[in-house]
Amino acid sequence: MRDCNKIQEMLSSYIDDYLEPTEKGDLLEHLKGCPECQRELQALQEVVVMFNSLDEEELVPPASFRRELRSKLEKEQRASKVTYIDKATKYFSKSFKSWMPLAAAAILLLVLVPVLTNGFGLIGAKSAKEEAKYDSVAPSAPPRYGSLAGDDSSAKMRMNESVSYDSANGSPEIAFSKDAGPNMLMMEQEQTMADTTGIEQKIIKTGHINLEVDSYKDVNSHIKDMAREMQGYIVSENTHVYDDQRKLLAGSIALRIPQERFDEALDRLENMGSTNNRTVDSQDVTEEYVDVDSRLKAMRMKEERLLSILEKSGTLGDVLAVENELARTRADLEALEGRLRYLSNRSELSNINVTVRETLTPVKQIKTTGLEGIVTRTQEAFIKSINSMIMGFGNLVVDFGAYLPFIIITLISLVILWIIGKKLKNKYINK
Amino acid sequence: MLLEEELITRSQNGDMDSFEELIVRYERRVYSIAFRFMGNQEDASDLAQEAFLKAYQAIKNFRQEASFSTWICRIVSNVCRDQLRKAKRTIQSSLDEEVWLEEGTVTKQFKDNSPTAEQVYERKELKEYLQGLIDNLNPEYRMVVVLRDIQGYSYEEIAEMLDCSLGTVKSRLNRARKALREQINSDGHERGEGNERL
Repeated sequence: MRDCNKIQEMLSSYIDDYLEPTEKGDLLEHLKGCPECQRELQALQEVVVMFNSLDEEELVPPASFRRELRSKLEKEQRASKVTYIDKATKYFSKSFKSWMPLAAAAILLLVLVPVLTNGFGLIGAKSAKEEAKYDSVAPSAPPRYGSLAGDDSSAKMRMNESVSYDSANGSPEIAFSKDAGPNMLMMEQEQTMADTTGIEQKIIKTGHINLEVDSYKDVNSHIKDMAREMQGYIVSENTHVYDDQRKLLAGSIALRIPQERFDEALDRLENMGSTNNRTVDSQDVTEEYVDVDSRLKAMRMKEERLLSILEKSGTLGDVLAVENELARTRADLEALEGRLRYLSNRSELSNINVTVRETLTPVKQIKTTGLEGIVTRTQEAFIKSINSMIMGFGNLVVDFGAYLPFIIITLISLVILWIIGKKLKNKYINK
Repeated sequence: MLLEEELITRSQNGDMDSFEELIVRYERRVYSIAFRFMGNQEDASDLAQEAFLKAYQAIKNFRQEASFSTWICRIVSNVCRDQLRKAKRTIQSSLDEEVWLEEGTVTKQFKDNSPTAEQVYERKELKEYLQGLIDNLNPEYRMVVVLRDIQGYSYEEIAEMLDCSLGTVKSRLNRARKALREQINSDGHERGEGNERL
């Protein structure tokens, strides 16, 4: 005998004759002995009959049904028969909202970025701007100064580069000045070209460096060691006491260092103390060198010719004349050779002038020098700040004026776009 | 009279008149399902129209291997179910209608359109009463009762329309009928009638 609940679950399917034959058998078996399930079956059958009897004939759509449906269908058909232009407009107006802010942002960016990058000239912006400009030209690499100072033999070139350290803010300001030649990159290229064509570059380099050190004597010996080590030499040296009270020493040393180690030497010197000034001066003497060299060759040929004439010549007067000429030629020759030697020596060995000064932070006595002119300095700083603010404001106004045309155009186009978008949208919706 | 397949093919090619012919053939059935489902004429009319509109939009995707009758019934079922879901979220207007019921004893679970016991069994009243019972079923049960006991579809067809298994149809129908029976039973008791009169 099966559980009444299970049987009752099957009753509905039994009514519709959706039971498996075995299930049906079980059910009929159960019903015979279960009056409750019989009642349940009967009740359900009545429900089903009741609902079956609902007269669907009476359920007729209202009279307007077809007419309304027809008009809806026609509208739908029109909407589905969209051309590509319609689709585009649809897309445009549909996505208008989503791309509008994007476009606005892009335009804003277009306007803002130049403004911001040019800077509104607020405090310090200007110098930062200039620094940036130089940075992009010479990527802050002191060791490369030497290699920058090259040029091809025909272009006379002189280059100055100095680093001065502002003790106030401690950041080096690098300033270049060049007399001739195109940009640095090209110079480098030309240099390598010159190298490959076999003309030896003759560049005279001179460096100046100011050092402030703790101990003069130590640094002095370090510099000498360095010069020796680099196969250079000390040209001159001079030392004096500049502060009698504290026995502080100062002095200058002139070094000759092989050109290829010039930058290295400068860097090493710089590390020996605090540097407040560093200058590199390069002079390209290749042209002069080549010139002197060719004149020398011509002179030698002239000498040879004179000698051969001397051998052939007969009269004493002739001999004397030739001898005179030969002597003059030889003198010229010597002078040229001397110049040539000088040039190659100069370019092979670079000059470095080091000025060394011993400094000592006062520790043994209290000094009020730090407070000297505090009022005036404050005043100056205040005025400076005010001035830079005024300048900044002025620049702001000027920049605004400069960008006004762009801003106006942007605004106008935005308004136009907005109107177009709205119209298209309305058009699409009204459809 | 054209064959149904012919009409469908033409409709798929955008022939609205052919589709209208299909509407003429099925509008009663679609409307009556919608009516049974929604319980009032306005909703039934709107939803039947919506179902046909959807069918028209989608007829290109209709494959002839299924029957159009099943397909359109399925669409109208879905439309009605969606509508009921929406109506559930907003507040159904029929809730307001219950307020005017004068008898405090009437349970709020169903909309009773038959104020007196005698009238329940009168033919016209009976119909309204039954519709009221359907309206108080939850949508899943409502669907199977309408499709099976009123429209007379087979279990297989119903399964296809409602996108569920045959077993689901069976159990839903069973529970739906049971719920209906219990409701009728309790109504009978409330009116002091024995359920043997049912």
